[in-house]
Amino acid sequence: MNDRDTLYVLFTMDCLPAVRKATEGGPKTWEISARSIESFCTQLHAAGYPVTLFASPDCAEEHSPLLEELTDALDAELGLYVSPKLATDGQYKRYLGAYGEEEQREIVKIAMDRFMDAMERRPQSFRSAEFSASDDTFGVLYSLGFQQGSVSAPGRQVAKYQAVWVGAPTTPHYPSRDDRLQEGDLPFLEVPVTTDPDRVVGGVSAELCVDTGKFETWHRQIIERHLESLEAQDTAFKLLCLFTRNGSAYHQRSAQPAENLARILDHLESLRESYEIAPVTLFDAHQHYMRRRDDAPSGA
Amino acid sequence: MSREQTETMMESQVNPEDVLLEVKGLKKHFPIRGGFLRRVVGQVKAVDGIDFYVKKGETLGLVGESGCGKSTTGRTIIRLYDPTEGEVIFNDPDMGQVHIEELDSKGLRKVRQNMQMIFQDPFSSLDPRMTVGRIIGEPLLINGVAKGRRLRERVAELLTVVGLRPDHASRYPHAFSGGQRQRIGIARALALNPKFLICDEPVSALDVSVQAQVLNLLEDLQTQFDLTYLFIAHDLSVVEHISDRVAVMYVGYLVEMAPVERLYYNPKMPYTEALLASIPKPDPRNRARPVRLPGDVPSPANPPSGCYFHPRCQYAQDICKVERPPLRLVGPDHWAACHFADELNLKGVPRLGESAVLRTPSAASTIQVRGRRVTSEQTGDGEARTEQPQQPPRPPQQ
Amino acid sequence: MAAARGVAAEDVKRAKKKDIGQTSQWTLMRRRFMQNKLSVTGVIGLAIMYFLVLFAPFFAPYAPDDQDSNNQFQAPTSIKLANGHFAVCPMVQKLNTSNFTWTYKPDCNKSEPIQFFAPGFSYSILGILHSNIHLFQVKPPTKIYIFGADDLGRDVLSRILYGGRVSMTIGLVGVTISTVMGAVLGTTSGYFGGAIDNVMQRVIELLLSIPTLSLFMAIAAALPQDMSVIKRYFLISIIISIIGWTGLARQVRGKVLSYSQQDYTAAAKLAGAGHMRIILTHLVPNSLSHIIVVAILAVPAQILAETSLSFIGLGMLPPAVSWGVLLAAAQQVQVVEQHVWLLVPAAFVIITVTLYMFLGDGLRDAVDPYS
Repeated sequence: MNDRDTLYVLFTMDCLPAVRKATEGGPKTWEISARSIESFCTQLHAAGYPVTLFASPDCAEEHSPLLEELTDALDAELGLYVSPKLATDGQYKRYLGAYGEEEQREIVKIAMDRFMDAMERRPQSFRSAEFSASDDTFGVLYSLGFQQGSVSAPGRQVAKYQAVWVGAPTTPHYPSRDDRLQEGDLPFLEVPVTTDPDRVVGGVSAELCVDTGKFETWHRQIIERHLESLEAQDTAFKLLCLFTRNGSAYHQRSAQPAENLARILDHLESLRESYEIAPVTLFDAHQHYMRRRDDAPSGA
Repeated sequence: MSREQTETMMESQVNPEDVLLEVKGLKKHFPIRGGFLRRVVGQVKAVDGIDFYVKKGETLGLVGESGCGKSTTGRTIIRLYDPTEGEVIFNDPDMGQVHIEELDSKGLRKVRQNMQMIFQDPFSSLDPRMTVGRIIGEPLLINGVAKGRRLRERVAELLTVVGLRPDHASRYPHAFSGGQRQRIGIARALALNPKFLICDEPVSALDVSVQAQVLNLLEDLQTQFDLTYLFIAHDLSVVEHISDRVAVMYVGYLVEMAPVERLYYNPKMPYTEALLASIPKPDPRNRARPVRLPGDVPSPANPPSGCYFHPRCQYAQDICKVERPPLRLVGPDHWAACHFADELNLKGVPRLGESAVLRTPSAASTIQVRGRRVTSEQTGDGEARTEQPQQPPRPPQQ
Repeated sequence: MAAARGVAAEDVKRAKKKDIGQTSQWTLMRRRFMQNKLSVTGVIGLAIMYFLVLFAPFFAPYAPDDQDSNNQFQAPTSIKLANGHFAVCPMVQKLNTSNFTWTYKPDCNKSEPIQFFAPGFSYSILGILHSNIHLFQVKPPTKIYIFGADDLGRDVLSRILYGGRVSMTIGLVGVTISTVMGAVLGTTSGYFGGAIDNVMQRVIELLLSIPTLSLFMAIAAALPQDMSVIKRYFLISIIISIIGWTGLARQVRGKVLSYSQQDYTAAAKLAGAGHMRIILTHLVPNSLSHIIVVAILAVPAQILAETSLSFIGLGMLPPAVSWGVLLAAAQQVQVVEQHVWLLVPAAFVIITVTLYMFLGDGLRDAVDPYS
């Protein structure tokens, strides 16, 4: 190839509510939550990358002016994060994939309603807590009006949370209506988080989570392996999807998460020699994807 | 040069009726305690004898490296700290000339209806357990200015003035971004309709992309409410944009004071020259941009002899090691504390008309161009743009 | 692409239906507290226990000092179902001539039915409510000893209930005193600093260096033996709290110190707030959560303190009744061997302390997120 390929880069952050016994990487206090979200977005915006935030309904309620400003001034995109127990006040206690189609629809609808009450706008994209989903999930999401999401983590195998993505596609795709692991024609763009499916620890594959581990030992390898596999498969639509949570203190510049972020950004700069780096939000990614499909009738 | 001579010289530069605040020989020393009985073993001379004045309606910028005492100056003027020595004379609209250092608590309360402060850290300046409405309304409540519905209306008014919505009054600080919290702090400072605002590094803790908004807000408010600012900062480019006159501090001592253009293009004190030369290119990732010069800033507890700057000064002569130069008039309303101010030909910043825009490798930054309203925006390749000048200044937007 | 963001065609603006993010601190705390099952258990459990000891005379079949020399060390009465009601099989006491101990055997031929809400000894609760109805009674001379009897034939259950009045409230009085002292002195120390702080710190260090047990022994020896029970009760309570305030004071001082250095305190000063207003509006509410939690968790400590002191004879003394006094009577090995039921008061102590722990933990979880 003469021209460099475009590498789309998507930064996402899960915004969980503050509970004292913080789980799933959530924040201990609302103060930490606010500062973490803001700091993450401003650091990335300064480097040229818009952030896609997935906000739980509680977070949307508590931080609505902050989230509004981030979407207006810093080009952030606001999506919906659903952890059923938190979103439905304990009415549904398990993770999303454990429920049937109607119940999933009910759960997501409750979450959406709360979100829209708080933010006065629709969420544009979707993420499920613990990447939990069943074969009905994509259909449910599409029927509720979502057109893109980041629900899968290829290689993950945590059965008790119904988060099994072994063998799932590792690139953005339209999934099948009946089988979440297959590609198909449901016009909902599923963008999996970038993982190294061969490196599996405790059922969870090495996922490109910004606040995990250290750059040298964790993120670099995942990125390189992913790029290698993209090249090997000659994928037309190359994308890198990173995620993190609002419990990590990005406002503390000397702490690990902020350092990881800085290192990752440096690394992306160095990739500019081989790729045309295009920072996107999830919605943007879908637009680009659709355009490519239209341009390449043979399918990409 | 004696104090009286400095005084008369200040009077020669400005009409006393136009002066809102005058500071004479202000000192603030902090005792260092040690030993079992906590005896005083030394003094941190944070502010060690400064004189300046602020004219009505103007913005006086106060700059220096961190630790130079500028923040302490601000807090001492408003008597969050009691001065060790010196006078702070405020031309209160209601009470006339007032010596702040002598006021009792009742007098202080009255004077603080006309003199308020905006703090640096938006995260610690708002009580996290109070709603925004209570925070902004607190000054009104304490001073019996308003209560009940009238209070709520006034709070709604203030929120609107700073660009927030009235229904934000029932939220908590953690719902807001740093820039929004700073606006809340500004709304609180404006609650009692003060005439004089001490802005203690109001944008230093904010992200670059938000700094311009808050600065623009401060400027709009100044016009709208006829305010006078003492603007304390370490970022020279920010100060240049917003100030009419600038004063430079070094280790507790005022070393130069002049109208902003004279100071920036024609400095008379080597420290100022060094500061201006070291304005770094803005690093978008490094929010804190302290100016750093070679060598170490002396400790205020143990300053060098003579002129404090002589160890780092390339023009230093023998006299500089022995005698501390007084702040003296070296040009129209231009004061400098240097033995050789008349002889040195110092370099200021290049005229900004020539190199219009500071380019950055990527992303947004605050760009200063004299006389123009600025925004920070980013196009795809990172080049920054400025807006066209706005004439006349428009009221603050919602 | 800039125009259409997301499902922009259907970008519906909905009117805000409820006050989101605006609920008061207390409502949020209450909600969080209610969601925690253990803390709800704690509250309900303690409520039940306090109810029981408040209405002790109603629930107790006998007066606590009602001796019965015929029933010394009586084992807990067995309750049987006879003729459709609960009945008591009276114990027949026999002397075992081989080792000269009393043995008891239930004799179910002459079972006595248990009567509920029956009349018994008269009592008054708090001097207001006068009655003689008890929850359950048995016709004398049969006795119903749910937890057996002690060396003087007194019903252990009744003594536990009456003793609970002392044990469960002595903690409250002491904790209130030490909480208030600790909070006030700690706040003063932290806020005003300087000499006041210096003196306070030295005093605290002094108090903390006093070995508490020796102090109590000295005081116990100094107090006259014939001092009235009430006086002794209060004196002990006060003494415990005078030592106890130091811990809280230190913690509060630390928090107040950091809060008063925050810019919002300076802003309040500039707004014209006086010392009291700053302390009450800004410093105390921020520390209140911590204070409450420490106070709640200090109550079981006080209960245990009183129990231990009375157990070793330095606290309450007979004829007063408290759980510590009851346990003091259970110090000998014989008790464990032959009259195990005398240790039941310990179970009540444990239950109460555990319930307070649940409550304290739940409170801390509910109250903390804003710290």
